Amino acid sequence: MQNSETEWVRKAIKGDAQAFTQLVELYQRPVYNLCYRMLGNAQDAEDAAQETFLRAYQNMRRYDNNRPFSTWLLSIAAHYCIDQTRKRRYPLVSVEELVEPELPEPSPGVETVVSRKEEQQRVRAILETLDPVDRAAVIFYYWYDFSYDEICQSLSLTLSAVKSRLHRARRAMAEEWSRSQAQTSAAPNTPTRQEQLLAERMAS
Amino acid sequence: MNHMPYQGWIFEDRRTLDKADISALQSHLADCAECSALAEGLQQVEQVLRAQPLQGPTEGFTLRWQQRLEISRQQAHRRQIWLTLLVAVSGGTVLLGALAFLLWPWLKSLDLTLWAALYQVFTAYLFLSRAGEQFLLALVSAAKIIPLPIWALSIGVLCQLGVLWVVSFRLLTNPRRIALK
Repeated sequence: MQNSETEWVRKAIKGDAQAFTQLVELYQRPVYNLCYRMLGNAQDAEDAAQETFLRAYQNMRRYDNNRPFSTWLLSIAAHYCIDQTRKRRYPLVSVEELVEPELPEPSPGVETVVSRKEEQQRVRAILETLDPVDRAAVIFYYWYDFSYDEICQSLSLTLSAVKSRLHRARRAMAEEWSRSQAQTSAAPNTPTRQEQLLAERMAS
Repeated sequence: MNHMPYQGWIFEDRRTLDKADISALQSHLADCAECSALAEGLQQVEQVLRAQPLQGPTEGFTLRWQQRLEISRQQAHRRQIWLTLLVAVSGGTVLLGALAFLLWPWLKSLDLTLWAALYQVFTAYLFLSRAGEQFLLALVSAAKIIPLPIWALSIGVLCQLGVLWVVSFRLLTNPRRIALK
């Protein structure tokens, strides 16, 4: 796989669109995941991932062979998402998700699926409280197992800046998590919107 | 209670702390509910974050990307055409302006300028007709010297060069396309 990737990268640098398409196929998931975690909704994540690959294709000649292609690609995605997040004046919530959430089919394990969805929503809410650059650093650290050096390279930051941003982000996340835990335990019997919809569906 | 060094350590990468710091932190966490809640909160968040799977795009992402690339190429091509036109029109306007500025004294006496222009056109016509006569004369002489097969060959080569030029022009001006799946 590594050999074919090197070959595709080499060809893509020379302008071979078909070779770059193979790279899109290979990296679509990590790039999309980064955009999704950064922007918080599927539509924006799709746009950002598409734009990332387009920018990467147009700037392939600037790619430094000594650096892993994945790091370079994710760095483009992170910078694009940071810019997009800064352009937003207010947090975006997908209308589709509000009106008609993806409810699991009534089958065994429904509770597990619902609690997993709630957990995902909590993760999204926690990430949205962070500054965009801190959020990118957290995503690189926890989802991609990037080292501090790789995060420095990807976000064009110094080592001390990365350490201090991660430190600040961890504190903010822990505080937010404890706050949301406290709220949940304070109102244990109040059903969530998803639980209400699920109950309605099961009743009909 | 003083939380100062401990709250810093809680959010540090544990690998960077030495054994003495870790044991001091652990004994502080056993006594301090506030720091303990923070440490527990962080641990839970980290667990949840690491447990989250990689989200993938919907089916057909690569195909959508190829279509987007094609659209972007067409836009770039159109932009290039507009830019070329703009440069040509602006260049032409600047040139005409400069020419008007240079010719302003003549333009003031328009009748004289028109007569002069007419004279120039007539002179050019005379020159071209003389040159045409000379060229025809040379052609007739050459036709007598050069054999018929050489003529046919030359015309054939010229035709092929013309076709080659048209094909190359088409290929160069049309945007490149890639195969869609």
